[in-house]
Amino acid sequence: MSKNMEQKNEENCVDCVMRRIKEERITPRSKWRFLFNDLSVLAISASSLIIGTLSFSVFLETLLTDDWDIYNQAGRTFWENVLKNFPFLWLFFLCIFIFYSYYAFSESERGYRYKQSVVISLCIAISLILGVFSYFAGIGEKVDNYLIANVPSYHSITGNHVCLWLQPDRGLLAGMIISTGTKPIIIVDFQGNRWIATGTPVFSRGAIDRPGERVKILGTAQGNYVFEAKELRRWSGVVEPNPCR
Amino acid sequence: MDERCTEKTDEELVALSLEDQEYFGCLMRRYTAPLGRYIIRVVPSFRNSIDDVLQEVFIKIYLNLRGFDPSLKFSSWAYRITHNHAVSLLRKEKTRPQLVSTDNDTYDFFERYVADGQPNENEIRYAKEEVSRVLAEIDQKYREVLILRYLEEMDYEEISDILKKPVGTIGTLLSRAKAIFKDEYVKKYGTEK
Repeated sequence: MSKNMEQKNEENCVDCVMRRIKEERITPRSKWRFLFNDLSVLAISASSLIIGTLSFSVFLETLLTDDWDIYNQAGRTFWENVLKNFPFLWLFFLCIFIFYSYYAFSESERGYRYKQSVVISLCIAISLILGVFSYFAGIGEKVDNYLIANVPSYHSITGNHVCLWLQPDRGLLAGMIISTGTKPIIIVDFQGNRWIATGTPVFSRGAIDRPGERVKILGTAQGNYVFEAKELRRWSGVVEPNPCR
Repeated sequence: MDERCTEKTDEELVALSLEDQEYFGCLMRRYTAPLGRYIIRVVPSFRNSIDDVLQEVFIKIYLNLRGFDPSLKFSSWAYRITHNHAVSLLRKEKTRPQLVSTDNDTYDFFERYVADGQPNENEIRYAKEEVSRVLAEIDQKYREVLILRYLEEMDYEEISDILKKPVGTIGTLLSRAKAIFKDEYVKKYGTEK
């Protein structure tokens, strides 16, 4: 194409665009629109990071409150216990939201300028650090309890720990302390049965000998709803009615 | 208007265009040829309707003028909009481009850089048409970095701003693209000349 012809085409193009701008009264979009778009993308990234943080907090809550030392006593093999009790779901959510927060950030106006590995590492580090803090602040427990109370299928996905502890013939019992004024302790298990807990148990993992407290008890069933308690552990989490129906 | 524009930078012209749309004509005059060439390189099948495509691109640039980030070069930002438009045309077309347009000057530049190290008499000498055919064969993500680097003569930072990818990723993409280009060339034409 000759230089003259190129220049002529260029002028035609410029004229056409200027004519269209005038005739169609095209005006540049408001700067607020761009600001809003960019802030929305950053907000999505931050929200994903917060959900990732909560996921890790619940992951820790379910992982650490699970009693990994009693699977044998409960009649499970190690791998069966891992499959039933390891919080895979929360690990999956954590990964998804870390990835999404990275993706949203890299799609923001300036996010692409940062190294992929740096952004991903930062997203992971923030999720894990804040996740640990929120676990210690009890947020993981609150989220877990809320889901147990409000999402009917939650327990079937994450594994029901309650039934694991309602096996008195295997030495496992869980319920609420009714009376401690005089020994022995009286408790009502999560199926509504009243038990007399005898012996001098060790109180571990935050358990307190106080009416209204919910506890897990390791020991031996003696018959006639008498249970010789060896160890009491604090029960964390909400228990739905008729948990093992 | 032209005389008033010659001394102005692109960024100044953007600011002036927001107050007086006539200044946008100056920006268009500066970028019609390079953006037109770029579109033809990415979607050669639109060569015959390049004026229409360019009009759409300039209207998009004008509409988004307040979204221009002054920390970027205007050229990178304009190429980004053009690139996105060209990619959407490619998607609509759903067929691979037949040839990537190259001209003699840029072809020499391309040849010099795709071959590692300094050229010598034993080095690869690609024919202009062969380069076009090989470029048309390779994956779009590799083709676009090769076009931007060796035909548009952009540096890594500019390519990073256009494609919205980190500079390190651009380096990786380019080195892979060069290797793929060479492999594809050898596959198509037998040996490196």
